[in-house]
Amino acid sequence: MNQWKGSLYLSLLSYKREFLIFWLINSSFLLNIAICYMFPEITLITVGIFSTFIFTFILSSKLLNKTLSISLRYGLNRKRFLGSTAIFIIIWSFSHAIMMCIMNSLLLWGADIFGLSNMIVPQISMLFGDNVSLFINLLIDACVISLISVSGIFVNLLFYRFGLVGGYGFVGLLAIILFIGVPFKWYIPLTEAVQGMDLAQFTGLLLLLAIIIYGVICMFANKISTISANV
Amino acid sequence: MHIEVNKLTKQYRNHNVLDELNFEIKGPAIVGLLGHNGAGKTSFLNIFSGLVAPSEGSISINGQSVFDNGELMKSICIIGETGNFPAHVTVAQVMKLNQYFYPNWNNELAEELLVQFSLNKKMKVKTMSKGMVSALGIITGIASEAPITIFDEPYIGMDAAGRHLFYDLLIEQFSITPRLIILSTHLIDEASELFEDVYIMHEGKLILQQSYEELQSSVFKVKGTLEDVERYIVGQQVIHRSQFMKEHIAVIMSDGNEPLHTGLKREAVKLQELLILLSKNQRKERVQ
Repeated sequence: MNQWKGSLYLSLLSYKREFLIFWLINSSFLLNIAICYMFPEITLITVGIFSTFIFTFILSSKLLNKTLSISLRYGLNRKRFLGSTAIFIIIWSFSHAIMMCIMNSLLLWGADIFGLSNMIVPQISMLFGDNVSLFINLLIDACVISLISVSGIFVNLLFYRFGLVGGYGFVGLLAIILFIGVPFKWYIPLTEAVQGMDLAQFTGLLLLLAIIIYGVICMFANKISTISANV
Repeated sequence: MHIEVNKLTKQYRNHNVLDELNFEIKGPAIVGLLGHNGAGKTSFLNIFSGLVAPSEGSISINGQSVFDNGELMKSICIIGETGNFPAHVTVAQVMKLNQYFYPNWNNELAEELLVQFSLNKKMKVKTMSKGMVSALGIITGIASEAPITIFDEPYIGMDAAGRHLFYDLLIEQFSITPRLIILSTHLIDEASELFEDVYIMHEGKLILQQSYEELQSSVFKVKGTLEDVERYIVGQQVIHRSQFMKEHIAVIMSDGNEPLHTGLKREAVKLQELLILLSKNQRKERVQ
C-alpha cells in the first residue's frame, strides 16, 4: 500500500509545479469576460480547452523520462509503476477536467451576469449539437484528456525504447498516412461513423481507445530500463 | 543472504559491457566493487538492483531472480552518483518519499544525519550543491536500513570530512544493523579498510574476488637486487615487475609463507595500486 501511495506522491511532486504554472496562465482566459464587456464589437473564443489538451500531450510525452528511473530506484517493479501511472492519469484527467469545468462555469456565469453574447466557450459536446450539463462536459473532457495523456505516454515510450529512429519513424508513418489518407479521403468512413454516434458512444469510444493504447504501452514497457535508447 | 551471478552478460550496441560474469556474494558484509572507468561496475549494479534487464544470464538473491521482482526490489536501496531524487523537491519531501518506499526506513536516524550533514529540510534538491545532494543520498542509503544497500560513487562533490563521516557511519550502522553493503568507489585507499570482500572488474569481467584480509597477506612487494628477486619469485604468481635505479621490484601474490632471503625487503601493496597493476596486466594481455 505504501508503494502505491509513494508512487502517487512521487508523480504529484514531479508535476505539481508544471500544473500550478499552467493553470495560473490558463486562468487568464477569465479576463475574456472583461475584454468582451469592454469591446462588445469583437467576438472572443476562449481556447482554454485546447491549451489544456496541448499541455497534457506535451507533459505526458515526458512522463517516462521524469518518473520511471526514480520509481524503479525506489523499488517499484514495472507492473506497479504502470499501475500507479494509470491511476495518476485518471486523477490527472479528472483534476484538469474539474479545473476546466470551474473556468467554463465562471466564464458562462460572467457572460450571463453581464449579458455578453460575444463570448464563445467551446465544448466537445457542441460537436454533437447537444446541450449538456457542465458535469457531463466534465466527464467528456476527462475522457479526452486521458486519451491525450495516454497517447503522449505512447509517443514517449517509442522515443524512450526505440530512440530517435523509432520515435520519428512512427511520427513519419503517421504523417504518411495523413498525406495519403486526406487526398484519398480515407477519413470519410471514420467521420461518418463518429457522426452517427451519440455523445455517450463517442465518449465510450475515446475511453476504449485510451485503454487499448495503455494496454499496448504495458506490452512494450515490460522490460523497459532506466537507460533510454537515446543515451 | 546469498547472491548468485550466473553467466551475466549485458550488451549495448554490439559491445559487451558485462561478459559472462559468474560469482557469488554472501551477506551481511561490506564489500568493495572496484574497477577502472568503463569496467562495468555501474552496469552490474543497475542489473543487480533491477533497473536494467540483462542481455543474458541472471542475478538471483536467495534463489529468486531480481529482475522486476517487486518484493526483492523493495529490499534494495541503490544510491548512484546522480538521479536519485526528483529535482524540484525539498529535503523534507525526499524524507517523506523514503518513508513510503523503504519498509525499514529509520526516520529518527535520518533526522540525526540531516543535522550531522547540515542539511536544511526546506532546501530544494535543485538548489543544493553536488556535495549536499551526495550527503542526502548517503543519508537515504544509511537510514533506509535496506537489507541490500548499494552505494555507487555516492560521494561525488563531498569534501574529505564528509566522506570520513560517511565511512564512520557505515561502520557504526553496520554493527547495529548488519546488512549487505556494496560500495563502488574510485577513492579506494580511503575506503579499503571498510571492506570485508573485494571484487575487481575489468572490461566486463571479474578479475579478482577475495577477502580483504587475504589480499593484504597474500599480495606484497619484494625489493632487492635482480638475482635475489629472481630467486624469490620462482614458482610464485608475479603480478608486476619494475626497476628503480638498481633496485628491482616484484609484486607477487602468494600465501606469503616463503621466507624472505637476506637482502630482500617486503612491502605491503595498497588496494588501489593492486587495482592499477591488475588493470595494466589485463590491457597488456589484450594487446598481445
